[in-house]
Amino acid sequence: MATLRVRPGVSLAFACLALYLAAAAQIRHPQGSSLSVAVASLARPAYRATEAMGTALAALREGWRDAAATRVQLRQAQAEIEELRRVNQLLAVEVTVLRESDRLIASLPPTVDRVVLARVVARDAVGEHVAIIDRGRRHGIVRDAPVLAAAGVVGRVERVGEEVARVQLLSHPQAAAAARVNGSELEVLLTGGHWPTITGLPAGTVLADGTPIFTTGAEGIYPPGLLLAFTRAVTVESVLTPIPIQLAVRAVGVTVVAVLPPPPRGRP
Amino acid sequence: MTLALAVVAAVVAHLMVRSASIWWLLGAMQPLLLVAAAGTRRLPPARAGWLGLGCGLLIDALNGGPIGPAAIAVAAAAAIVAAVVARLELTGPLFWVASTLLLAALFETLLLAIVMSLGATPSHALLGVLAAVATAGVGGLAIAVGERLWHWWRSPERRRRRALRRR
Repeated sequence: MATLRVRPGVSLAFACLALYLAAAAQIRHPQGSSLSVAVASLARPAYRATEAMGTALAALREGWRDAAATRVQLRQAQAEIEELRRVNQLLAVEVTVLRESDRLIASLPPTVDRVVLARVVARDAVGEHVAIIDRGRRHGIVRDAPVLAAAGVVGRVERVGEEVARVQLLSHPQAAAAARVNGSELEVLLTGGHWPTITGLPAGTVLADGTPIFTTGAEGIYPPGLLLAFTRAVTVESVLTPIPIQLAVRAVGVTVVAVLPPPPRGRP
Repeated sequence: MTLALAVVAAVVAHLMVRSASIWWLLGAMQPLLLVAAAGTRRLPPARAGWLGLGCGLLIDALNGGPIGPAAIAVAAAAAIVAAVVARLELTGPLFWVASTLLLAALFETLLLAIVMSLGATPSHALLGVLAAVATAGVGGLAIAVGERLWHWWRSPERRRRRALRRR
């Protein structure tokens, strides 16, 4: 049996020629072939799948964009919340100061005039027993001016700057005031320190717990009649015995004070 | 087996890039030309031409036009490109870029000539030719990059480096 061996290049050329003739035949019938219809039908699922993938990718991209925008909005909202929280804290402090100022003004004796309200900007109520207020010489603050809180006497102005002043608290070891226990005409000496005391009551005096102690004004700093402290329940052993008392004002809780004008010099 | 997988992947890619949701410029791409170009690397011109003929027949069938013109064009272009590649000993990324560009340019030119000789109107003009050549070149470049990455990933040097890092 005879076999026909053709070189690959020649057979390729023959195949191309045959295809050329077939193409020419197809072009003579432009209505299309069934093959093209079949291919179009088979290709439709691929087109749909690609379209679905494109739609999913577009949705994903949109979602990413939305998520990024949401993250930006979230960061902005968090920043706003932080700012609002800070403002709220400041407002709360202001409200507290205003309420304390209101109580302080209401508690002042009606005879007191030319009062300067000041905020306590710093304090050391344990070590140095001083407080710094935000009013100074420019506001009319002078040395030795008495300083009051709503609950009673805080201390006296120790040093005065242009814009600030330093207050020596009644708990300071060197603080002292002439005082009078409520219901008694005897003048006693109130001295500060970690454990404030009074001395000068006669032996045998029986003090009830919580009896108010007022200023007499004899030392020339505090006007008379201001609340200084409260007594503890104790019986006085001798006139020199220091009797522990409870100061009326706890300096750690004071935020607003009233600085009174000092009494005129020469007054007893 | 690899050739069959490549042909199937190219057919799927051919259908996908013509979907309406894909960027219009990619619609000019002929992924089956990349298969024909891949055959020009090791096959002699005549066998590369036969492979191109098969790819061209698929292009004709997928495009829905008369069967033959693209097959003849790809067969002739593949045979020429195979001869050029063997002559110039092109390898690596240069082979992919040069062979795909040359194959696409020859394919478009020959297709235009064949279609016009048959008395038919070409489906696209110069802009379409340029788009087809450009997208084929981009495809070749992408394959070159992928091949380089694949070689790097499987390189013994990289394995040794990883082993040293684990210690």
